[in-house]
Amino acid sequence: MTARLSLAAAIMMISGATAHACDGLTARDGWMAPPPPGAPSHAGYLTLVNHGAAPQTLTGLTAPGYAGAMLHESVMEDGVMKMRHLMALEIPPGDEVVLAPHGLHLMLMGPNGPVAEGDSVSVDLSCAVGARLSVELAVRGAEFGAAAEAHSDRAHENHAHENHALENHAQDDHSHAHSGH
Amino acid sequence: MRRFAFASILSLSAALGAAAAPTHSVADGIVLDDPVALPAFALEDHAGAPFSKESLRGQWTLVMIGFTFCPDVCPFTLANLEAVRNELALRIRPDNVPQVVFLSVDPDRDRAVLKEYVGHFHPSFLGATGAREEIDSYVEATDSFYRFVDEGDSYTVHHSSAIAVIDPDGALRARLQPPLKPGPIAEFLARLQIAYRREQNG
Repeated sequence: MTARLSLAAAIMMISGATAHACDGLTARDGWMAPPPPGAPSHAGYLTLVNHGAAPQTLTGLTAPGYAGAMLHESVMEDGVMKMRHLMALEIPPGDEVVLAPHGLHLMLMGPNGPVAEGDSVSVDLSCAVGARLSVELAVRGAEFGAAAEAHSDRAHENHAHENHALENHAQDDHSHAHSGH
Repeated sequence: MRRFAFASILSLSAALGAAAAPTHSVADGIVLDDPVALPAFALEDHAGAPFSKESLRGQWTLVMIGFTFCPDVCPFTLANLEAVRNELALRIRPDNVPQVVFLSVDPDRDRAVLKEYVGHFHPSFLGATGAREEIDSYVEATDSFYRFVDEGDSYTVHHSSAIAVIDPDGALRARLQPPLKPGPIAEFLARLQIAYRREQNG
């Protein structure tokens, strides 16, 4: 991760955008489907738009209503669904990245209380050099099924594939490690 | 100890490619050449009642393997399965609309929340889980896969995304691949049921 942050920082400095790392980065269409009661984690979605001339890198997020939060991606490989923790997500200049069902999502873990339709969920996205971008996710049910259909074909198009090198790669080590044995 | 409860990805591909070559594929559904009779298994449903091979008899069943710590794909797939059921209700007799079962491979974390979790999508949805050996027995028989993966101080589960379509005799007949488009998938299932009845009437 260090290497990536340094690279991002270097890019920022070259482009002169040292002070406000999130400059030019906005989020729109933040939403979440009403999560099932008892669900230990919720998924948030939004569209990140980089209006600036330099790439922007999201390095994580926090959410006041949750115990923890991460950038995640659902990936289908040979019929197996995997969730991956992304350490960074790059939004190229002049481009946008869509977080949508069956793909990139904000993984919000350990909700402090129930979340229902009509609620608003606050998240703070962290940019590479320490600035933050606050976003509200509207909890709404209307698109629950439809969104999966609409976004499924393009969910994997936009994001920076090189970030996959930064995933957690512990999968070969502790199969069933926490399953009670 | 590492214990894999699966036929590997390779053998899954092999099964789809050879042993159970699809006879027809509509939308994201695949019909198996030969139905696979499931072995006996002894799981529990979300109310603690036995859920066994006998529970599958007499109605169509759609089984999804998953875990509740899966906020993206699992809820959307369950919601889409309910949309599929609604589409199907327009096409077939109500008692042929399949029962949806969410089989949690993560009983330690999920047992306590399974009931309200599945009930969120439809009151008729059934959550099931049980002893590791029994889960594995089902998973193996359906040529599915799951594996626990460490993620710092937590863990996630990689799992087959395909939905098993089980006929009223308790045999695996087809698979559905998410994301599910309710209309085409309902059409696929309606045709599958017609083919099944023709076969029964011989």
